[in-house]
Amino acid sequence: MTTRRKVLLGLAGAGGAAIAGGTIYSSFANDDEDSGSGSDIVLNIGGDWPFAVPTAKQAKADPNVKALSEALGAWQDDNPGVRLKKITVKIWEQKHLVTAISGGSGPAMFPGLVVGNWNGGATKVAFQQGLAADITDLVKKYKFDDKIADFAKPQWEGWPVNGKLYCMPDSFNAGNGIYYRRDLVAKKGLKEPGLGWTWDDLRTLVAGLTTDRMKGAAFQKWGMNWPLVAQGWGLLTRVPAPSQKWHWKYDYTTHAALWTEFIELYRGMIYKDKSAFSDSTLMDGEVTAAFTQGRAALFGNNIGFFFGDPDTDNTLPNMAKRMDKPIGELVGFVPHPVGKTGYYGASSPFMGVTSFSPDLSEEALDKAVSLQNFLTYGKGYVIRKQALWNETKNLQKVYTDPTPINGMTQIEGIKGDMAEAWGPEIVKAAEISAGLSTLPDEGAYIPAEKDAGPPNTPVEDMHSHWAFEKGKVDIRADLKKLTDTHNQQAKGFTSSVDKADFAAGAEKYYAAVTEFWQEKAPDFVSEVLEPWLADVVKPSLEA
Amino acid sequence: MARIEVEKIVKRYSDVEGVGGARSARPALDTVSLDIADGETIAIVGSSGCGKSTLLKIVAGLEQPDEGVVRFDGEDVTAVRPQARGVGMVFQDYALYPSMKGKGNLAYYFQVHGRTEEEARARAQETADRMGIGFEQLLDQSTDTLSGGQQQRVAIARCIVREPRLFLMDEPICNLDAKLRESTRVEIRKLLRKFGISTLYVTHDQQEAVFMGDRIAVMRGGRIEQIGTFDELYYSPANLFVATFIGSPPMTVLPAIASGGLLTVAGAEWPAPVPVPDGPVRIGIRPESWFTGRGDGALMTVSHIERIPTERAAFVHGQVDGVPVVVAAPLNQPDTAELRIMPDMGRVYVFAADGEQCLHTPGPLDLF
Amino acid sequence: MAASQQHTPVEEEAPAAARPGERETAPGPAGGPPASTKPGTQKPGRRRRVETTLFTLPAFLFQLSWGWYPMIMAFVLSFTDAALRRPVQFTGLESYQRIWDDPLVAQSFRVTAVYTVLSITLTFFIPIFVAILLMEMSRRHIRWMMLLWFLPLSGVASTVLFRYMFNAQYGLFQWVATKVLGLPPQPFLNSADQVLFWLVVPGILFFGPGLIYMATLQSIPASYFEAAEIEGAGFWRKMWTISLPRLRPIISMLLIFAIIGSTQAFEFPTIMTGAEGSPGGAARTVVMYLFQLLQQLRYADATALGVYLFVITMTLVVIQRRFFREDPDT
Repeated sequence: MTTRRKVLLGLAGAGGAAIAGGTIYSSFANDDEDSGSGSDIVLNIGGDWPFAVPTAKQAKADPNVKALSEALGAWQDDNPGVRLKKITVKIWEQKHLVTAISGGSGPAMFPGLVVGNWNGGATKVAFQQGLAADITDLVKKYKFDDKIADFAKPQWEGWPVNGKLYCMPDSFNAGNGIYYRRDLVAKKGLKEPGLGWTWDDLRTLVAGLTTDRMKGAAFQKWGMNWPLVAQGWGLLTRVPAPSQKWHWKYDYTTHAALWTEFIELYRGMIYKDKSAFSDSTLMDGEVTAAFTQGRAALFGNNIGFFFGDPDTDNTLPNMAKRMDKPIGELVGFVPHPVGKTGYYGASSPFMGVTSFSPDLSEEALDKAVSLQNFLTYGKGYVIRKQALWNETKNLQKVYTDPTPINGMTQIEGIKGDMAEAWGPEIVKAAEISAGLSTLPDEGAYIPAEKDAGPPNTPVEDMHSHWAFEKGKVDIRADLKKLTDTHNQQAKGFTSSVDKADFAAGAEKYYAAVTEFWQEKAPDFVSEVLEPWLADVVKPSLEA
Repeated sequence: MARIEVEKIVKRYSDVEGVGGARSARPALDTVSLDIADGETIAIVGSSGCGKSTLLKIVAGLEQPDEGVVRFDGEDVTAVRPQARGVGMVFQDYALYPSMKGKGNLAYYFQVHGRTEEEARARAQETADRMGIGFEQLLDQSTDTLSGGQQQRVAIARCIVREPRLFLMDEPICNLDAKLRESTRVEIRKLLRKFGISTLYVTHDQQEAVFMGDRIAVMRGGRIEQIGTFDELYYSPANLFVATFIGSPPMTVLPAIASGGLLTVAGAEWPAPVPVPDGPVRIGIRPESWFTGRGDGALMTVSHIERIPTERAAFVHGQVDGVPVVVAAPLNQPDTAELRIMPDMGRVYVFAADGEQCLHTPGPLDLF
Repeated sequence: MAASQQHTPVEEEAPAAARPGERETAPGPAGGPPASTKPGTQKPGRRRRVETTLFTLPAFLFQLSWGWYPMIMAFVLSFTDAALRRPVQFTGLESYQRIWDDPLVAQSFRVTAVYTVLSITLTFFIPIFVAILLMEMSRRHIRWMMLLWFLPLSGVASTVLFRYMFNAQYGLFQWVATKVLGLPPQPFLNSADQVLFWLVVPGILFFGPGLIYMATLQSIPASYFEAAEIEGAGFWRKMWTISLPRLRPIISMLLIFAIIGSTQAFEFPTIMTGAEGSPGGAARTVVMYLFQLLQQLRYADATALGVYLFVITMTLVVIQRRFFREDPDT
């Protein structure tokens, strides 16, 4: 019955949307609601995102909700005639959200990346299919370009889709890195990792941390991706080919030596050193639990994991509380190790964005953006943080985001700032991680496609094959097979971008890449990038 | 053909398999002995749960007795597996092999024993001839498409085809409708006569038992109460149970007081058929042994009259002193609320006042 | 399946209700049968037809709007670009071609085929023989086994349970392999060669149709086996000539369910192998791949793949029906 399920997704009219009639938040209703004023604007807030529409009763009982009520009230004073209506929608599930939006019953605003299932490329495709409103002018009106923190700016440049914007920035994650037990590193006299460390360093460290009871590292099922990205996977495995129907071709064999070396390194940790473990079912939660429970001394994840609730099991603050040590002394965080020639990329900070319903009227759209602006960059943010502080007097519960996109690491009325809450080490680590975020984004140079093109599935397949297949693996044969599979898939797609535009964009992109790495990792440029651009990319672009 | 001896068989079901799951206190078969002469048909009759089917299974070898011996032609076969005993069994539900034609059912035995197909075919042909007209057509049909009677014929043929020493029939016709039952009964009887194979025929229907059996064994509670010809059972029952079990409608049993050669029953006084010690006794009278309309009879309140035109007779049902009584009468017996009845004292059975002991039986009817 | 169940009554009732009507329009050649043509006797028939319609109408409408309409629309959609918020464009067989050429689609069909064969062998046929063997046991054992098969384990609960059992570090299976059997640590779900086998194994115990077989076997009168025993049939022959033929209708029905179920395998492999069907896509079934297409918003491609799968499943079911109809006796 899969076909049915699918159709329900695709059919706007089939009424499969997971929407139930909502209740209008009357305490924020205009005073003359009963008069039936036709000018009222109703904004549907779904899935308790970005907030759960509060009721008067809840506001009385919960200081947090009270703060939210206050904030919303302040906004409504400036925006009379706007009502907020709570609707039911599974906003974090792509399938449900896309169905609701397609059916015209979606929420007024939603996390933009959900429609692309957290994939930037797919999200942009969804935008072009009309799943989000064009807010180019509103972004200008509300000056988001000026409001976002400096570290987020390069990321933001990648979001325009053919000159249009379908989302606004609402959060920033300083990206992935490696968490490790500082106390154990010190105890065993191992060398503490730092910016620019290598994968060989990591392997040594992990082996040194391994004991009978504790593995040196736990990796999520996608852990194999990290060392490969450090070698330039992603950048070096796709060749622009404007002469082809689909403007990219895939090549995993040219740099087989680079890949093979690091695949063997990763496998070496798991199968030879037996210092790390991974599994096809390990996700963020499992590896974090392994770390906090003392089954692994190191794991990789984004910096947000520092800022968990100290009162919830298997969070890092909880672990520190349990072990009665300052978290900064117990746990260290460092960006991912770099590749052989200094390339990096696995840390990939990412930006959270808010998109808006394509069905909103011009006026309603403006109000929706205004509300999210108010809550993210304006007074709404401050009111809520202040309320949290007043309630808990716990800085760790106030400053839950090390890299707030609005740059507010200190808020008036709250005694203490980010550094005081978490300690200087962690704030520093976050700053360093955020500072890495300036890799050139291909989306800023090459026009976006209407189709996502061949998926990354064959690559993920090979990664899991290399990571989990215990016996011997023939990496070179696998790379060849991967190349064939991916190119075969690509044949079925047609680029929507003009050949010449694509070629021009690609040229600019590679120029930017070269310039970027010239500064960060000159060895990479001279040894890997330039020969490749000259021998492979250039002929392909000119073909 | 064989002479079968069953000697002092005891069978207990010790597992939870007993009826109702409880450990049954009394054995399913309690020291049962039985001889079947060569070519004789013995009908075993009894109500359900009396152990008649268990006895059949023990003779077949499907069940092992806890005590006792089964002999075929003097040879102890108690431990012999069923297939080696050379018995043929016919079941109530026919138990024809599903998804096989009649032919396949007949050939099954030969296939199991690795005989040639020619032999199987020849024997099937032979059997079909012996089974009579129209039987051969049944062999080419799927057993699911046959009627109950036809299925039973195939089932019987399946037994005959391999010439068993002993035939075991477990209520073979009780699933058929009344009319078919009648004709099949006749047919089986004819076949048994024709083949002259020793047969154990189990039924709960005494009429059927009477019709089929050269001798009849009446079973109750895991025991054989009496074995004999119908006349023996009918006129000389071993005890009150056999006396009331055999005969339809059943014998009427009335309490009586004996004193000085007279029996006082419900206010009437009748001469005792034989000398009976003074005191309470019970007398049994079969429906056909009543005289009606006699002044010195007991008063019977009539509840209804069952007229059977095909038999040119009627049965008057009623009560004497609260005891149910059935009296045979002519078909034109008038409807009356009361009836004076008196037994033919020469055909009266006398039983002890308690227990089942038989004090007097009239013996076989002297017809000539 | 729900469709056929709901509509069986209609099919049965319709001819019965139609019969009096036929009689009315076509009177018998011998001047018409006497009593049956009187208007009075036709009334029940007519009313029955109206009632039948009324009673089945909701089910019919429900089935139409939720069952058939989406199915037909899916088929139509597979020939378009299935754009979400702009008019769809007819693309012909483009999606079918793309899906046909996709090496991962071929792989997912191979995976599904192996999964289906394994699943049907292990969780469908083995329970038949186990059930027959069990029937040879004492009644007490039979009862326990039936209880075990009937354990009301919810799908989610047992899936969570098996995820724990297969855990490569601390799972029960690993413990049995290393500590009890003294083997080196086993990869279980982490090996491309083993993963499908291990995905099927839980079905033997908990999702197998064993209970239904046992119930059916228990309904076979003992006399069938006794008759065969008297003729000297051994265990295998009894199984072949009595148990299996008696199980045949139920096997036939369950086999269809099993085929449909395993060709559409999705949930269990998804949860157990972390959605990607790892390692290397060795456990990615067709429906799992279809789901990935949906996540990439490739609705037309996903629909086309669904149609391919439908055709194959349907073919298997038709073959199965043929095979089971090849009965010498019917």
